[in-house]
Amino acid sequence: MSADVPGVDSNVTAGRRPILSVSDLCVTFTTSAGPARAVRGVTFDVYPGESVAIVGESGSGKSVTMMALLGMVANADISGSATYRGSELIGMEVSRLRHIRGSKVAMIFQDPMTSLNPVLTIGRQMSLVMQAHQPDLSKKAARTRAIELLDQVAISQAARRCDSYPHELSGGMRQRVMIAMAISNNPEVLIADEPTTALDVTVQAQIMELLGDLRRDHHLAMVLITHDLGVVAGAADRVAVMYAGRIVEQGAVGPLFADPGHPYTRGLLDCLPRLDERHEIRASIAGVPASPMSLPPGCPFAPRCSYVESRCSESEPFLERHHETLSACFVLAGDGLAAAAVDG
Amino acid sequence: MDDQPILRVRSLVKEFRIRERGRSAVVHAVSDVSFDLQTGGTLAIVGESGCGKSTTGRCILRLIEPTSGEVQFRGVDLLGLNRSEMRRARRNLQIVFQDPQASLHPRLTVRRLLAEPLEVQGEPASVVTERVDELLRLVQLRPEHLDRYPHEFSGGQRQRVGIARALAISPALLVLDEPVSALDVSIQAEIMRLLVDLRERLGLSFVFIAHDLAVVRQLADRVAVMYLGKIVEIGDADEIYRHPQHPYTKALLSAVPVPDPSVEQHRRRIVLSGELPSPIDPPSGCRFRTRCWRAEAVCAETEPPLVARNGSTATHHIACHFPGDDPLGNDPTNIDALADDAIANDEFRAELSAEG
Repeated sequence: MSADVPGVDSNVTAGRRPILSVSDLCVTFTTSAGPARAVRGVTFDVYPGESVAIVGESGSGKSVTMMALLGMVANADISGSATYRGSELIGMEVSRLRHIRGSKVAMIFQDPMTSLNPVLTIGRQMSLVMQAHQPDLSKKAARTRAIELLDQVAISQAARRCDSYPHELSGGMRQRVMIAMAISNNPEVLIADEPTTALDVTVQAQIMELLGDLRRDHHLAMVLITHDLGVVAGAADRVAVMYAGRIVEQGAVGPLFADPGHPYTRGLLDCLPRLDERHEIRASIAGVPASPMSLPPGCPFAPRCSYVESRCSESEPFLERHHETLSACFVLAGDGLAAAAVDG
Repeated sequence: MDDQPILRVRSLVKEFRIRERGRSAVVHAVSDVSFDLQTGGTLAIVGESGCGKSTTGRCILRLIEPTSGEVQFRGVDLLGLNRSEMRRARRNLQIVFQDPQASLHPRLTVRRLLAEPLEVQGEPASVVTERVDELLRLVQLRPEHLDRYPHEFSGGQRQRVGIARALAISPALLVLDEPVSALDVSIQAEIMRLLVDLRERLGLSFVFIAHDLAVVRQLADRVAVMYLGKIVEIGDADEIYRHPQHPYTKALLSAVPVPDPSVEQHRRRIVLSGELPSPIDPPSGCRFRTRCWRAEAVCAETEPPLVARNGSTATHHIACHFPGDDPLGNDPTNIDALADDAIANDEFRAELSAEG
């Protein structure tokens, strides 16, 4: 992508190469009921130090996209390309991929209880992760480093917590442990898959603040996968909105919120509960998300869309310019006059 | 709304006896909770995991037996009823759970799921069939859905079944225990709309349990904020959102992200430090004091009673020795002043502890 493409901040990209580059990625699962096209041609870049949010509802393909590029998807046909600093990740030998995964590119998940081993202490698990990538690290040095890391993610009495089991910690603390583990090998990219969805709002605020601090301190690039545009507003530089396995809109966070060019993005923003105004509840997106097993012809959002026209069910729109974002919609984007008329 | 509240809860207490590391201990899940719900109104009970909001909801229906207190429904104390009297009373009181996947029997069809509560209440077969069809229309499901099983539905549709089942025997009051927390945002809005619509059409009263103040903004006319088993602030919704007085309420409001990057990227937040204390051994005095930036010596010594806010209508009550007298105006997202207050106090305390 060149710097003049909307949605790519030229300050971020000037003279720099993306650290993670995904191009036309497709993931199709084989199921007993036929193929499920979970990801259908996703393309985006992540530059060093920036935060990119991938937003979508359950089944939109947002998690599968990131898991596929780390080789964590089984029983699926994967095509397209995903490179980390120029090395192709798709189809890379597992032994080579292991040097990148968990080390240069780390991931944290929604539910820390199921991603932590319940029968190992926190300190032991952290040591194992570090020793997997730094074979020379002694047990003692790994423990010392684990305590340091726990301290860094603001876990009090880190030395004592090091000997705790996951069930002895609260949900917020478990997520802090996951974050400490993810940064233990000094990654350049942190993929956070719904890191706060299972947490209370005040704990969510703590975790998002922690992630922001770590990004600044370690110059980390972050890919934030979430269904919550509210969290995105304060945590992302750029946003990609996914629907039915495709990016339907992408852009810098400001324009995307202020002037979205896809009816789905508009709908998602409209139906967010807001504190700062009391209004009628707007259920602006009717119906249910498209199933990857049986996608409608044309635009997959058409059956739920209030802007729908006849051409929408004939072919599928691709990303085109809509003011300052890229948007895959025949009606609102790619056609300046139509867009202006709708915008009033 | 008529004058007598449909639900009056007084001094509700629930203590669980547990064994921890071989010793018996008491979990103070709900401690002295009182509130009224007017007919046709919606009271939101808001707080984080472990604050006792769900236990309170279940105690109202006696799904959990309260330790002490009173739960009056239309003037009758439910806690004094025997089993068969309570079963009759439940005609009027039903509950919708957070996760319909877990609360609907996986091997019953929707038809059976909706008929069951009617049969339990002794309705004849002809009435049951007619009522099941009516319920389906009420929650906007289609007739072909009747012979499907819960797993064949999406999350939102399943919650519609959960709501229809709760409405089967035409209750007057619904306890909604986080009914949309497990759903996607677009589906959440649809279910909230359905609930508002049903409340108006059927004249229902709601106790709506939520962990987030944003979700209930559009629905609640009264809000109770709970922390560690206690109501720390209760009042009319507009008062709570516009003039929150308790530091915890302010922190909860501050934690909700605003979906607007221009606000969010410059906004300062009150981020509570530390963890929720254990309900086995709650802090002395004010239970929130260990995480409160305004706490002083008195907060550890004396428990602040829930009292009416100065100058307000008598319906806004706060349990705090130092309630905020800095109204936020009409913009609850404008918490910069409060954040400054919180930050200044934190720095002050850090200095104190550094000095020894």
